[in-house]
Amino acid sequence: MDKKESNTISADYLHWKALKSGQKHALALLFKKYYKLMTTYGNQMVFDSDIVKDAIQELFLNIWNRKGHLGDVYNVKSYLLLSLRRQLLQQKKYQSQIENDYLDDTKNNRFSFDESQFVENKEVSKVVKKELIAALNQLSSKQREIVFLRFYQELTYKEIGELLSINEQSVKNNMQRILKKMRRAVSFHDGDIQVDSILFSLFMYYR
Amino acid sequence: MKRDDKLHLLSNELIQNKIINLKKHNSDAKRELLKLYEGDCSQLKDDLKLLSYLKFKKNTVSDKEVVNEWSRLDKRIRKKNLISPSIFWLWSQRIAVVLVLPLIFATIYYFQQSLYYEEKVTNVEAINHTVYAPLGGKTKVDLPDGSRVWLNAGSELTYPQKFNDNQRELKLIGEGYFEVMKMKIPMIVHTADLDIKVLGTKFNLSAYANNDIVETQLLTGKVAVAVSEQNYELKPGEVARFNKKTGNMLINRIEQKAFVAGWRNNLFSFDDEAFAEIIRDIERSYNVTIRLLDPEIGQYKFNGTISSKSIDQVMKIFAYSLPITYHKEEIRTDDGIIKEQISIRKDRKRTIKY
Repeated sequence: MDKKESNTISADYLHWKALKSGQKHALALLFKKYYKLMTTYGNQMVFDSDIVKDAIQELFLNIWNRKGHLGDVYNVKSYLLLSLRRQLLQQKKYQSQIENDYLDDTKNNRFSFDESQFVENKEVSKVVKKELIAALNQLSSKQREIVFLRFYQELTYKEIGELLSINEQSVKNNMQRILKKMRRAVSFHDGDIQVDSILFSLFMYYR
Repeated sequence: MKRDDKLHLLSNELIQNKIINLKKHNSDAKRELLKLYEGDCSQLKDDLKLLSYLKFKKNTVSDKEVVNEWSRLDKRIRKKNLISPSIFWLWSQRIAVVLVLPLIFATIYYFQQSLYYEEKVTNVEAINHTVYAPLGGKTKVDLPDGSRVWLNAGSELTYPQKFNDNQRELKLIGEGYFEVMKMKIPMIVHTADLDIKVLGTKFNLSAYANNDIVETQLLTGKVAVAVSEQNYELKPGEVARFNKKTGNMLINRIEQKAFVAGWRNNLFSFDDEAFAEIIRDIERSYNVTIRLLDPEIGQYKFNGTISSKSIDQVMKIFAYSLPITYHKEEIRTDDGIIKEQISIRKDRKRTIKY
């Protein structure tokens, strides 16, 4: 953790400190604040939502039981996501032995996308949407996870790097590759898309 | 090429943030962005579009679930607190471990002894357990010998409280994935139409009463499939399909091992299977009723793997790849339970190509 970051005191950090000193309401606050994010993340990793629910329960129970021995956590959000990720991966490995095939990149359905996950955008034609989702699903599972972490969970590159245990630069490089592929998928259909209202006003302004 | 050159802008974290948070009427922010883009308006326009596609829906989890899950956790915490996780507790655990270890060794020694001398255990307690996996659900069973069985929806497994000395006998109706602990004595799985004999293996056995095919897929080890006095031995990676109606037995290689017992992860894999058979699986897994309004739909063949969380997604895939249309409604069954019913008919606009 670099100095600058450790000096900024976030609300989460204060909750964490309160939690460490045994205040249960702080645990409740963090649970309620991050439960939805953690569930959507977990559900992308395993298809069984009950497994995810139980993993989150265990995770918070564990935090509470070890509260006296916890270290300082400056970024609670990525700490929670990382713990969940580890727990689910470990559990998956343990649970089924034919696993290897599932963890294998291309056969693996973790972090696959479908249309229902995205905000409806009337300005984008159906064809483009399909191409785009197809392009996303052709990315490696790591890249798909990066897309999810960046645009759903709104994590920073640094946080993503910590989560996937790769360095920040590698996240950025991957992002470049992802965007390149997406551009390609969309560019053939440029004519289809009507100019978004934001863009339209942008144009008007600069004309 | 020129487009790719500018990727460093869009992949820049701060620029991404600015674009994502851009409000319609904030002209200052727009001007700032355009400056970062060195006045390249069309590039910025493209990038704005691209990121606008990537807007995910938020809050797919309900508030109610959050509250429920918290109160579940809260209850567990309260329960734990009663036992008081103090230093005393920690130490008593450590002491317990020290005391228990010799006990474990003694137990192992005792059991090994009894195994060598083959002491005759009187079969007083031949109590059988039956475990059910309900429609729409799955269950895992730990057997007394350490073997594990996963049961698919609508299946039941019967096993004795204690296995006897010369064989481990089980009865299966429906589908199960078995991981059998290796032992000298064989395990025999009885189904209505055939028996499987194994020593220690991993295999998937599907023997539903309302399916015509009894399927045994072997992953590792060795199994023998016995049908009316005839024995078929399977090698790893082979699948035996027994047709109840014709009495035929076919042994093939498994196309994709990864999908064996895929149902445990909601993966359905079909290899040129008749739609009539497929819908039996779907009905059980999602606890729905499916009606074929045009009976010949049942003979359509479907090939492929579906991974899905909901019945709607599954039906969409079928309707996309087969010339059918469907309609879902809620019905009240005879016992007054509300159940989803799906009616499928032919799509007259499309025809099937064989």
